Amino acid sequence: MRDHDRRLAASASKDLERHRPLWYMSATVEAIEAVYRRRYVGYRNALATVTGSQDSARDAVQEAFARALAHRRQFRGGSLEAWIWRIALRAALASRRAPAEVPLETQLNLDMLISPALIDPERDPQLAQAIRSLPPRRRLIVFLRYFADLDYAQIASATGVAAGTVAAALAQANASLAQTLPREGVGDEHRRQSP
Amino acid sequence: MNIDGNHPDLEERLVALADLTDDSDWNDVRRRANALTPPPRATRPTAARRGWRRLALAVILALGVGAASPAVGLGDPIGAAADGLSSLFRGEPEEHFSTHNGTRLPLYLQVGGRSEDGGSSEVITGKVFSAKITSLELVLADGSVVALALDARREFRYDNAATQPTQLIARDADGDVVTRLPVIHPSGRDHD
Repeated sequence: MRDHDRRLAASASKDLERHRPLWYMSATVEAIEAVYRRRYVGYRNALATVTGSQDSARDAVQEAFARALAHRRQFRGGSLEAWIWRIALRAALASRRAPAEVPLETQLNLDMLISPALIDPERDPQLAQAIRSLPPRRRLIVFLRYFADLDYAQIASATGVAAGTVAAALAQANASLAQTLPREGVGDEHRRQSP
Repeated sequence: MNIDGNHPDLEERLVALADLTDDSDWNDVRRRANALTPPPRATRPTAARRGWRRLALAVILALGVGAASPAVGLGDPIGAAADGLSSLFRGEPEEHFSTHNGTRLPLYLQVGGRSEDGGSSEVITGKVFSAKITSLELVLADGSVVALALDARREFRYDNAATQPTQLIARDADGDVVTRLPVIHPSGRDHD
């Protein structure tokens, strides 16, 4: 991470500290269940871009929340949703590799480990192609934003980058996709194809 | 493009692709979590708890057999000498300790006695838990030496005072004496 990113991260961290809800400080069973009820579908959809299917993503989400429950005392504050997402991502990667290769607290090199993609590219080939042109980390940020519905601070915490970097990455991703995709009548045809 | 630089169609198209099926199952999460939960602490001593046990054992050894001349008595554990004590803490204690009589020691011998047919006999049960001790010998009053098995019950009979055990010697793999302990007989007389 560059110095500029580190400063932004420190600044974002202070902001998070100031605006953190009280329940963020403790990973109780109730708090984890609340996150589960609220985020399950979004996490599964976002993880499916990593695992390649909804079934394996569902299993990874279930496993992640189980690990979060079993190891909830390891939670050290911050965004509980981001913490659980990190566990979920590790669970997803572990389902693709030997579990021992992805310890719970290992810092992941996202660009090397994952290559998220839409699981049904044929439903919107242009969009799928445009997303494939983005670097893996930006792809994941896009999916976390629009599938998992996480805010910038949560995405920053989940992916280990500064909130400012998330905002910049999303803006760049949008600009890049806007250039790649047709600008008139965009999406109308593909939305009609959606179930 | 909106004021944040987001392309509205991108967000709409992505959201349109999302699968909104809710197949969540919190009970499944709880079941998986229970499977991941470590066993209760009572069945798995913590490092701190093991530390306290070791400390308590060291104190018992120091008070009971450390400074004074160690001796073997009826039902008494034989305390290890300094060299033996060092082996006490080598490796995981569970690998070397016994729970015989609730006492955990690297070396445990028990000497009992009874009269039989007008004579006497010694029942010596021994179990060595020190990796350093590789052989045990019983020295008799007449100076002869009898080898003992490390992990076996041995009945040693004697008919007169000349064949009474007087000392127990523990040796290491090189034949060096690790500990030499006088035997106290059930009568209370020390035959050292």
